[in-house]
Amino acid sequence: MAKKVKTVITLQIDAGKATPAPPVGPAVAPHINVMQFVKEYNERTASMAGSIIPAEITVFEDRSFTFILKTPPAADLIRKAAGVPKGSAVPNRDKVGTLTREQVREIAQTKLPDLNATSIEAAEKTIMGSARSMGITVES
Amino acid sequence: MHWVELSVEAHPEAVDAIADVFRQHGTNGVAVEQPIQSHIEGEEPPVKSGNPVIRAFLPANDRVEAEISGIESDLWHLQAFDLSPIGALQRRDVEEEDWAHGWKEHFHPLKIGRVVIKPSWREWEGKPDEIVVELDPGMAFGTGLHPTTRLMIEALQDRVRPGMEVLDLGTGSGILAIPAARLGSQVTALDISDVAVEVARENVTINRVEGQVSVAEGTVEAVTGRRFDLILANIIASVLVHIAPDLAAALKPEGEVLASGIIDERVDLVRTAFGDAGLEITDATRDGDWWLIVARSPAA
Repeated sequence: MAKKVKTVITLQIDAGKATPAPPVGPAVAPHINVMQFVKEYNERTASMAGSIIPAEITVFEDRSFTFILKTPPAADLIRKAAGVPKGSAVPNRDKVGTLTREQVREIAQTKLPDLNATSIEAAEKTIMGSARSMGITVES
Repeated sequence: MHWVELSVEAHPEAVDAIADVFRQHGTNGVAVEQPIQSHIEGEEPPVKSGNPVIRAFLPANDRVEAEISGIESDLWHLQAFDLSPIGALQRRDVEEEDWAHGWKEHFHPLKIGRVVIKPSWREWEGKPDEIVVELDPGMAFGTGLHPTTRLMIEALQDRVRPGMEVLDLGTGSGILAIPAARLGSQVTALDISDVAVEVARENVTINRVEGQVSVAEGTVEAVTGRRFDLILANIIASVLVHIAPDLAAALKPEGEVLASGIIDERVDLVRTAFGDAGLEITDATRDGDWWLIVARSPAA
């Protein structure tokens, strides 16, 4: 039953650990029932603990809402694949890790549903760009 | 506790990288606001110029200035990777608020005929003939009810009698099943969503109608062979058309179905499908673009 969409907000937060504290509270409390979001999100993501699982929340004019879960951010997947705790602060100078082409393809496949890419090759290019911006090189 | 809100407008492709920079500097996740304009669900949103805004929060403690400098420097480095444009980093001080409860002030009880839908934190001085249902707004409804829910609540209170057997298809939060139970009927409430089933069960318990409402996952096929005095079907037109024969089969002689979720341009399709299934349309009401149809099965 179609309703009028007021806004769309994506939260990139830790699976299973949402609370009304920032960023969730200040981002969504002006619009919706925060506690219901927090509870639903934690229930749906409990099994994915340890990953960042974005939630895309659609807020309707009457302050009701729905949300869908997205794939983890590329940076999170890249860090895990490269086995580094964080990206480089000076990515064009200090390299902190490497990814193989297979790892790039695997990440591209995971992210494909959420990327603005029409082919796996285009998705791989996006992932390689993200990796470089974190100071992680890709084996050629 | 005080917080510093940091925000930056950037190209969509830079969102993940910027979110990661924020996260590396101790923000507990980020919120990304999409540049869309208000539009009808399911339709293409009108194009709004501008880029998404990425927002993050840091506790205003003695490390905050150092973290902000670090974020500024990291964002500057990102520009070297064709991820621009990345806007300037904006900062704003934010007072700690009661985010867990502050939103509640926007929500009030809703009265439809004799039925009052009341959020759990609101008081309501119920009159003797009122049916007060406690339901918290959220995913199912917000500050108002969808026109189809409103039409259904209006229609069901004129028809439900004590002792009736009622089937509620697509129960959602239980917003129709609970008032039907409070009017004295026995309700079988079904939904294909396991989330809805769980929420409906909770609401049934809160409203103390467990003895009258049984909630289960499934479609009309789950009750094959059983017959009801009244069926509540607030679904969508295409599903109603598809299940019309099943609805007819699940009604007792002279039983009624209240069908809604029907948008103006589909109402004739539903009328035809109900007619073909042997049901007689006895009433139809509309609210804006939405219709509710009442259909009756033939006498035995």
